[in-house]
Amino acid sequence: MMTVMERNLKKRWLFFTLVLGLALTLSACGSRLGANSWPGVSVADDTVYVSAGPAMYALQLETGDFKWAFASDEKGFSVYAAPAISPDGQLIVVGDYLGSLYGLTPEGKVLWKFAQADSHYVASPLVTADGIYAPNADGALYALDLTGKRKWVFRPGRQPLWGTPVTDGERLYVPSLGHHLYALDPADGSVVWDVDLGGSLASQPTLVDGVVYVGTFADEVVALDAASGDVLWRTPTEGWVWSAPAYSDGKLFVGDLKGNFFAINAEDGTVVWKETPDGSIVGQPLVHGDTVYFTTEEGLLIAYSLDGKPLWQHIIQGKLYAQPIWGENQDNQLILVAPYKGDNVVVAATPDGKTKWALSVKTVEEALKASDQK
Amino acid sequence: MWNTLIVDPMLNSLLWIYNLLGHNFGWAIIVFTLLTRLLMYPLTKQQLEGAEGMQKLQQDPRWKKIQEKYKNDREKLAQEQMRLYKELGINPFSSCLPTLLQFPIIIGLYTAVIKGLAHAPVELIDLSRHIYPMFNVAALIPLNSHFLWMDLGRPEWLHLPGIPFGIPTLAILVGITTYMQSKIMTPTTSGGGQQNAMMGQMMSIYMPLFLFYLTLTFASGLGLYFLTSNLATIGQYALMGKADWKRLFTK
Repeated sequence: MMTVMERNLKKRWLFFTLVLGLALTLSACGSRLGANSWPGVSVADDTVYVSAGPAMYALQLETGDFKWAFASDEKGFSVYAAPAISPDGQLIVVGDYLGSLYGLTPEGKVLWKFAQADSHYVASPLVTADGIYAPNADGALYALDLTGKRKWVFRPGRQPLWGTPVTDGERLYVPSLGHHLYALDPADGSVVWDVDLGGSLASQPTLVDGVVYVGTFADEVVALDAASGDVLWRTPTEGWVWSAPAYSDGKLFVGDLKGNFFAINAEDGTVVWKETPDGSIVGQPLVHGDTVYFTTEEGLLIAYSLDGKPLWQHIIQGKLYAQPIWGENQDNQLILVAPYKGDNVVVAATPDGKTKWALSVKTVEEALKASDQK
Repeated sequence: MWNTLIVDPMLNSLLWIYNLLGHNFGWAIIVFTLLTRLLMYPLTKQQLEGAEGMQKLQQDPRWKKIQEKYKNDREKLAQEQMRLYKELGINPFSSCLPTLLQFPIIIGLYTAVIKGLAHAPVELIDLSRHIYPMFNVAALIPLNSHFLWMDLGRPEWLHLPGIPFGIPTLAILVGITTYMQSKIMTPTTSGGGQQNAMMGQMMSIYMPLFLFYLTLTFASGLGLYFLTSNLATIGQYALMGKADWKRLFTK
């Protein structure tokens, strides 16, 4: 048995040990940076660009072979937003989670760096022939010219901007997690109109024939008149709508976090058909030809005909939050998906759902290790 | 299980307070910490009484005699000590429980803060699954993570005009208040030998340094919890007349 002092001593050490344990547990509870997202994919000609955490990669569309990789030396560097490509294909712009935006050549050479933001670039920037519009989680939209020089900053508040803006050439439409959709003058960032939609907007709006379509966390798909900001219709869903709908031939296709997939009449917002496959739907659906493709959290890549007939589904290891991306060159037509926490960083499937190639996490790690050793 | 029993109730309590206080997560953490301290008051009282009892025991002439008498017989010494515990009505374990209870609270609160502030898309998707249906989630999300100059989801550094570097004010305050708390609460050790005295001194230095490091490294929401909790404990002891301020300046 212990004496009083021995007991006190032991208690103090027990406390110290527990605090140490606490520190280790806290370290495991979550990332300090909160850098926690799925890879972003974009395609230009025969190149696939993937932002996949510690580096961004350029891959051959046909084979998935590495062309080049880009990573910054900065501690904690990570990229998740899909690289944006300028209309002439000569500039690749990617934003990281430390708050820097990089302009690269199609060969991966860094042209410039813009480091005035305070938080993550969750969304890809919008790159037009006139400039770059980069939303940041610090609540600001940074407008730059194509050489990376700041033109203006629009800061409506502190609520993060996680959605890429969309433009019709006349105006920029900027979604905010702070429930607002803003229409701005791209020349100077002044507000043309501003609508509170009652729920967060987490992705790029869809703009078709003067109508802006958005999905919100208020469990709704909303159509607004692009000129005035007037709400044309609202269609309720059953869960958060993370991504804006995809449009094809008078119909909108959209999923919600409760796992429902809707086809909606773009004219009046009525639901044309609805299916409920397995898992939350986060990414924007992809429409190509007479097929709509979408992904679910349960790792399914699913294809439906536009009138709601299930065509096929392909199981991909990991969670699929990212939207499917269409990639096409002379010889190939591919659907690219980027799993979260899977064995692969990106998987390329043929339009009938067969895997053409996959870039494994192991390959990427080996490539990173090799580049570290250089 | 951990989420259902600890994190989700904490997260939703924080959200409830956040909603009540006009969407301020900093005040929600402060009020939540104070309510937790209030709920734990009976245990804190027990801890204090336990510590006082231990001190009483050390000053009791019978204990000194027993120590002298059985200095070469540890087993007998321990038996006699237990007898004295009983006589003086001391529960030697009463001071452990409040300390141990702190850990699930700290880990749960840290997880709840990180979950609530959801700085990245996957975290926000995860959050949507942990909020109780009673809340109007659409109106609550995203939570306002700003409190004074701090972003509660990230480590705190105060940048003052004219100073080229940031100052970790919250970590400094946590370090100071932890030191104050350990000094005014730790009974002076008598008759415990040089080794024990040294150990006490080491702990009152290491603990503030350790919590300083935690606050410096992790989300400032956790640092705000440490600071509020330290101040509440110091205040509680002062109100009960148990704080010995002189110890702050003694070795």
